[in-house]
Amino acid sequence: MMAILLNRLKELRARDGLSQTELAKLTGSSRQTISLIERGDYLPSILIAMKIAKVFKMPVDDVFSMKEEQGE
Amino acid sequence: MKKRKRSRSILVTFGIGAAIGGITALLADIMPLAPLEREWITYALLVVLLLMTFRISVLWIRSTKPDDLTMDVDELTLYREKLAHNFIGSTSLYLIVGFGSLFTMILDWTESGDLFSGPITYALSLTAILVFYGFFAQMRAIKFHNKHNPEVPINLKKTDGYEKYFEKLDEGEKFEEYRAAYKSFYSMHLLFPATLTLLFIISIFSSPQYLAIAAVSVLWFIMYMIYFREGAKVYQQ
Repeated sequence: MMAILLNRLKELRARDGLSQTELAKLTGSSRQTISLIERGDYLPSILIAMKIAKVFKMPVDDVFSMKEEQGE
Repeated sequence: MKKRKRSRSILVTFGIGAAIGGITALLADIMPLAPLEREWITYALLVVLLLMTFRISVLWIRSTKPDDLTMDVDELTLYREKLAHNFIGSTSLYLIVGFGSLFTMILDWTESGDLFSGPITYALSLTAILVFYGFFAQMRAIKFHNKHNPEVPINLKKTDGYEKYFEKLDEGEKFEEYRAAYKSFYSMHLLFPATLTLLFIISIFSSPQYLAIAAVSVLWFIMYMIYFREGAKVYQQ
């Protein structure tokens, strides 16, 4: 069983009219980090996931969700 | 369309460089040349190699230029990040080729016995100027990076400059550095033993002084090329 992390960053950024650079500033991270998380290339630490959720005023599991897939 | 044109320019530059190198090497081999003429051709080739690297560097930096200037905040940040990355990357590659050429010439110069005249002295002077220019360009590139990334400056004046830079990166940037560094390490892990074997075989038949300089320069070049190419992936949106 393999688990992957899905996120709604792009959708929520569009909803709040935030660019990657602005979201990075609000979470105290870099634009590259936000871009990597958004693309699913990088699993964020709990701390940064909580900071992102705080910006969108939502619980962490509304922003990030886990999907389980049958692995090889 | 513009991107295709830029890629074509880079390919054409590579092609011209390869053609000049190939034709000169062929002529040097076919024509009954005096040793002095052969020396001239070798030095001219090294200088051409350095100039070609410079031209490719300029094209690489120019390839960052956006197609239009109506950019939002993300596009502008991305543009500056890519420009700084390509600028530092290309000046590093240019300096590697410069050092390779310069050290080869210094080795030849000290062996020539004629230290103040002849083709080697002129070629050595020109290469030294080109390497000096590379240093200047690298300093400008780092200054540009530091201006647009004041939170994570690079300070090459200190021996632990890169270490301090790495410490200041945030988690995503550290992950990208790790990915790029690992990929270049893995490539070197394969290339080092192959190069060592090649140098060993050649050293049985002749003295591989020049080849050793060339081999280390090529390995250094490949390592940086892989590192910068991998690092550039972070600028994809």
